[in-house]
Amino acid sequence: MSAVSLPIAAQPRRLRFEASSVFMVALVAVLGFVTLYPILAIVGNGLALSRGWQDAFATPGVAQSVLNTLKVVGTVQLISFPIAIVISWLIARTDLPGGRWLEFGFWISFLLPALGTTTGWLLLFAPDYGLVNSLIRKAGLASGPVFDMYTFWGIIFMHLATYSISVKVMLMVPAFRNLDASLEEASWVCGGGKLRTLVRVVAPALAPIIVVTFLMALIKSLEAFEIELVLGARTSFSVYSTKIYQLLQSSPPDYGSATVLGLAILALMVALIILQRVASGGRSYTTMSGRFKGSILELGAWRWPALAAVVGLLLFLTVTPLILQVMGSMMALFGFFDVPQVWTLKHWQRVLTGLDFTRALVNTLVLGGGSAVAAVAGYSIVAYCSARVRHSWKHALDLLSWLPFTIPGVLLGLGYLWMILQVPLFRPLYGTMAILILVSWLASITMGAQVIKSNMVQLGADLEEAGRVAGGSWWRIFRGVVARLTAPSMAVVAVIVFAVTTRQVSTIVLLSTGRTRPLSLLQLEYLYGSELGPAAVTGTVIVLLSLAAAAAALLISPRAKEA
Amino acid sequence: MPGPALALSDLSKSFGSLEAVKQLNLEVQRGEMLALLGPSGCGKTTTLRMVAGLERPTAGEIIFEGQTMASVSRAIYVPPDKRNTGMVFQSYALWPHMTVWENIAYPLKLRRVARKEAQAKVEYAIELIGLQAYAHASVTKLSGGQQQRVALARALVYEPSLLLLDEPFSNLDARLREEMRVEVKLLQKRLHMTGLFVTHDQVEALSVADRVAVMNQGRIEQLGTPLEVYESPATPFVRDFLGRIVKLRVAVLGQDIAALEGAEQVRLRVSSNGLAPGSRAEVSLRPEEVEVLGDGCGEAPNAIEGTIEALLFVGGRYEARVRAGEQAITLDLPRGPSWEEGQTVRIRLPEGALRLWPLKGS
Repeated sequence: MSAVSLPIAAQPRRLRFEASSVFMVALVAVLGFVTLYPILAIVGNGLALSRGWQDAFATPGVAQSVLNTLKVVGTVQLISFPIAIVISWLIARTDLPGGRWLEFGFWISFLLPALGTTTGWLLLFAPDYGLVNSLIRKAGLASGPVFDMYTFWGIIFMHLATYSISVKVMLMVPAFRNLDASLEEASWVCGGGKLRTLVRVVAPALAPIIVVTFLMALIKSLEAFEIELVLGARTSFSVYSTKIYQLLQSSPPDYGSATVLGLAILALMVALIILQRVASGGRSYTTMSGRFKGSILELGAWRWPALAAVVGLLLFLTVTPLILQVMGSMMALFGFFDVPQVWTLKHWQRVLTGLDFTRALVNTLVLGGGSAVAAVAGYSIVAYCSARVRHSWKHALDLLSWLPFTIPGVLLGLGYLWMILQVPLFRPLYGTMAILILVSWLASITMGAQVIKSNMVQLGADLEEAGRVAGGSWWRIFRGVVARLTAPSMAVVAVIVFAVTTRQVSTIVLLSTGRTRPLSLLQLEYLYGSELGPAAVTGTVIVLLSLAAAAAALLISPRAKEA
Repeated sequence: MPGPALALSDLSKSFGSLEAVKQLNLEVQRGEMLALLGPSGCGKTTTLRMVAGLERPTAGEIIFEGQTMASVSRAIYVPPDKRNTGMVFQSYALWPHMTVWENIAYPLKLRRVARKEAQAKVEYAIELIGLQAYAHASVTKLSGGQQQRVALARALVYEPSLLLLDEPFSNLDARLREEMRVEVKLLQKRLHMTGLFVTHDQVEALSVADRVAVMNQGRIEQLGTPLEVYESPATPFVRDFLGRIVKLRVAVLGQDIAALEGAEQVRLRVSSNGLAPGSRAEVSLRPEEVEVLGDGCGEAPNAIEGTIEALLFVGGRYEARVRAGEQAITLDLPRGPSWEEGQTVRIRLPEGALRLWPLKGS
């Protein structure tokens, strides 16, 4: 009895159709179009290409790229998953000090741009000039490079050093925390020891969460693009996403093979999605219920070593690559510490005064700011309708806002490219900021709408109803009560969307033109052309922008930290 | 204006296949406080929410002070903000980002009341609830009782013509609840407001309301003054829901005479209510109507002898489970004598208090 229909219209009289129904239908239609069109475009065009699959897979490197994708994804998951489980468990269920801060640290790590961290690590591990390799060479331990980032294992390393661990920790910690402690306590009371309880009660209870997270992480890991693009370049190592990019960059662009390849990945995705849905019993992980009541395992003597390990990992994920990147941006010759003048600001001067940079900076600000504004407005509506409206359309809305999570950025871009090419009405969108903002908006909708929605659900409908009965119109109460109370979570969403959009590459790489190129793509170009100094400068600026956005949000909304 | 202040006619609400409220008809007089009383899920809250405009009826009409607030057949629906009702929510629904003052002032702000006037009204309302010292405190810092008062002041400050209360006392502790009942009753009488009040607590309904509508499964089972519904329940549901009850199965023997089931030698005089001899029935009365007979009272009409099976001291009196033949009843025993479990006790069921109910399946 808590939900209430959405009385949008202020007209008191003669309302044949409920305005709320009309609004819901319109919302679902619009969201359905922007979400489903790219998918259907790939499916439709992929199937319609008569020369079809054989031709596409005969194209050099296409079949290999699918294989490579599976190899990278499999290896990364195999290594990162056990680590993430242990860390999540340490943070959520033990007396490890500063759990909330550590969790926050993994969020930071998730928000750091992969290109930037890659640039940073190259300073240490590049085969030719990497500091570690040079030191080893100087010490006479080896004649050639010991570490080579431009290899399969280099790519694996960068995945581990960027999102693959942090995203799992972010997903699992809340779920672990929500596990009702009375299960454990009941087992203890019944005479089960701590270890026995862990094995017989906690592990089975957590198993569904772990499976769901695993599948979600797998879906997410198929997003990977920029790491492979930069590090795979020297050895022509391609995964499907970079292959699609290359096929479309070649002249003439090979749309056919790219689309068929995309379709193959979509098919794989569908299988994963079905598995994920089955595993989670049709629920998304965040709706895992359970009162917050954690029982805490005492680590005893292991407390401080465990903390040191987690903090060490966090430093490895966040501070280290950032420092390395900043160092790299100020080195006369990237990676060379033994030249006469090691430090210089010439890259900064060159980049900051360049026309490319200024334009890219403006583009990034427009793109990030526009997406953040669109996110707060759009996600709020979606979240509100999903949380409050009692309509059968609500389920469609939930599904549509979840779907973009599963579409890898490159495929989203490819789908939109098809739309622009095939529908004359949308052709003017090509090369505009609007289309970039739209895909960026879509790319974050699952996370953003969920964050705002859970806040709204928590608020309860009665605060709003009280306002309505007290004499406020729907819009007035939405502004005065609902929006005011969800402001902290909206601010958080705005910052995250800004940061994610600022660093993103794969979603926009196919849709961006020279005119709309943002900093992230500029950095990609520098990296691609082995201009590491300027790449480090651009990467540092991107990180600074994200930090500034976070600081601004904290200033505007002092309660954002708690949300 | 003649006629009732609020009239609900054939009001219905379904959620999918679930019929929450079924063709409800109800009139509330001006200045009257009417309680909707019933178990959870009986449709009382849905009815209240329809009156507030928070739910749209699926059939029927709501007319308030001669104005149609909702009518399905005439396609009229007035949204909640245009109805000028005041409502106290079960959770109080105080806006946590506002102070006590701001919460109470907000409805006036929404109505664009001039600043000076608004200030005077809020001041008066805060004085009324006795929270002057907390006017500028955050509502989240208040105790449950204080929050409840703020919610009440917020609902009253714009002098709505109809006050709606949704289980307003259920989150308060027992002592505070009693206090607030008295306060609300006094306030409502003083301001002469029409009130509709939802509760599952029969004591609350009986004590606060002028009339009580007992609801069950989306319908009103009985409507009357507290005394009427308590003393003369119209249906077994009302009888059982309103307060404690003593019930015994009997067989009707003849005109105004019945025998206790399982102890046929015991005869009870009770108005047979037109039930044919031989039919099975139930007699009922309130526990406080049962007379406990002392030793040496000799023969008395409608007297029963039973054994105390269990004895609970509940403060002020005992509650005793007494077995008479095959049946057991729960009675009140006065605190004076020293009762013991296993002891025999003689009680009398006065003929005037006894009511006879036909038993289903007879």
